[in-house]
Amino acid sequence: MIFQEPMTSLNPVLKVGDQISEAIQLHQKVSKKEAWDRSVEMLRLVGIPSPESRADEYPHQMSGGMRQRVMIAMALSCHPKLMIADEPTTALDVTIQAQILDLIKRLKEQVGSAILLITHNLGVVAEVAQYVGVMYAGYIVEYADVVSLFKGPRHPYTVGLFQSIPKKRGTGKRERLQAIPGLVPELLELPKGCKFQDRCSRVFQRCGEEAPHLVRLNGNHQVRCWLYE
Amino acid sequence: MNEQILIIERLKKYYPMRRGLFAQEPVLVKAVDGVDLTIRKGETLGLVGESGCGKSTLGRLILRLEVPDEGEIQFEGENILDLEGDQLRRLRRNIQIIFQDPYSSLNPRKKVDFIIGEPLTIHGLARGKELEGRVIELMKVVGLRGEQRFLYPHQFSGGQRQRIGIARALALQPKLIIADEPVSSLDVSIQAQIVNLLLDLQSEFSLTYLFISHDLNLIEYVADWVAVMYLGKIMEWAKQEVIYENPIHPYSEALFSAAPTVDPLAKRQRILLEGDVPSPINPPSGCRFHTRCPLRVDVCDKKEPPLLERPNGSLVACHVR
Repeated sequence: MIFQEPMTSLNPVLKVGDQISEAIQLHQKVSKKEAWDRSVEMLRLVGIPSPESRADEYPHQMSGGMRQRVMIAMALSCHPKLMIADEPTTALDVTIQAQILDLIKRLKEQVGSAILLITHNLGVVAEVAQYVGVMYAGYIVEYADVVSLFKGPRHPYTVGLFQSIPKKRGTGKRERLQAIPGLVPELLELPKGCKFQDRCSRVFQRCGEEAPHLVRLNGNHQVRCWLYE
Repeated sequence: MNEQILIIERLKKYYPMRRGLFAQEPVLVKAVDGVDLTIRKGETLGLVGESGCGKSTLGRLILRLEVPDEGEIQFEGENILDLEGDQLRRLRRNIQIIFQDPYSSLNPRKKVDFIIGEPLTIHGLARGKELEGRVIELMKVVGLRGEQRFLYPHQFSGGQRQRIGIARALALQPKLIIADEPVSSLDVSIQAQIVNLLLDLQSEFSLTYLFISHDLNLIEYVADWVAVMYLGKIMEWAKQEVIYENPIHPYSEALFSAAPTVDPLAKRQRILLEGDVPSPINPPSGCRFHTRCPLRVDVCDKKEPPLLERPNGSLVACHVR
């Protein structure tokens, strides 16, 4: 697991080398010395310069980008088959975000683990993911490979999301943003039927009566909407 | 060309930071370190840069919430740093701010009619029935219902709260609005609503915006001019369409190339910068970007490059380009 906040998800009073070693020793039968050496190796893998001395430092001595690298090293230390990255770059600056995304892509090739990336940033998705699931009020409303989803979104919510972000403008005139009206519903007061009906521009009677199922359109593209039933 | 409404020259703001009990000299955080900028009437200047580069401090200096250590700020031809008392209050009628966080920037124990009406009360511009009428009118302008004026901020969603903050900023009919990350704490689907509102208000009331954000896609959308800031200095300052097409400074180039685009097929040449942003406590000598710059030459760590005009009209502070 890689968390969103590299500032608060590391133990501030433990050296980062010890924190990685702890994970290694818990899951693998190795000596303390060996675990430490492996931690240093992991730090090297995630691109931390002079990892031998860095392992001896505490989290507060590192920048946000470095701490996120430490988190990734820790998550990778036991060779997971699946890594869950919850908004791994949201707390970071743009140029540091680029470094971390690059690292995540490189490690996926090198280590061969699958990644579940959780984010609200469509740009990050376009860059890192092969498959995308769009979630709204507790349900997956659309699922497809990244190109089909970005080139041909089908669910009205996904379509609205894409229309509401500013596009490349160049020298052209500013087109008005198409905002999705209304608010995200309270999870305690979800409407009957489709959860998106109150904000949907293409709502019709059936949406208020029954909740739609996930239907397969073509290939891997699936959508939860009565328009496609 | 519109007339210049705000002129900033050589502006500096250093914050002293005590380091240890026995430190002899206070250490200085150089938040804003010699900034020149102008904003023209009715236009939007987008100010971009990474966290801690001094964007927000610059905004606060213009409002005179902070007093600069050096430099000049002219608003409509008047040096605002000399203003006191009544004159300062009049200035604040003309310059208002919209804050980033709609949760902490509204008093949780006051009702909305008080929050929006307070600026009018303070400046003695309206009271009683007239004040109530103005508050209702302002709420309509930002897309809230007048009946909602007796509610408390916690009864509103994030997007609605940001509308309250905007109504409060508009109450005094300011000429210049400093929008400090006005949408970054909102959901994506709500952001577009607020951005549309800000642009509508701009054309309706011919407002001038200083739009501070780290979201490069958003700045491309809203700004007429863009200034790129790095460690308290302006690195490049140009028209929006020019800088996005053709950034000249190596930092702007890397920054724009690093912003993720919403296109999975886009072939991109991403320039990855080495290392982290250095601390503003002891910024690098010479050009402060030289520690991360892929193009650095000998002179870069010795001499600070001035902001100079290039053939395409951009102002750039770089020795190499």
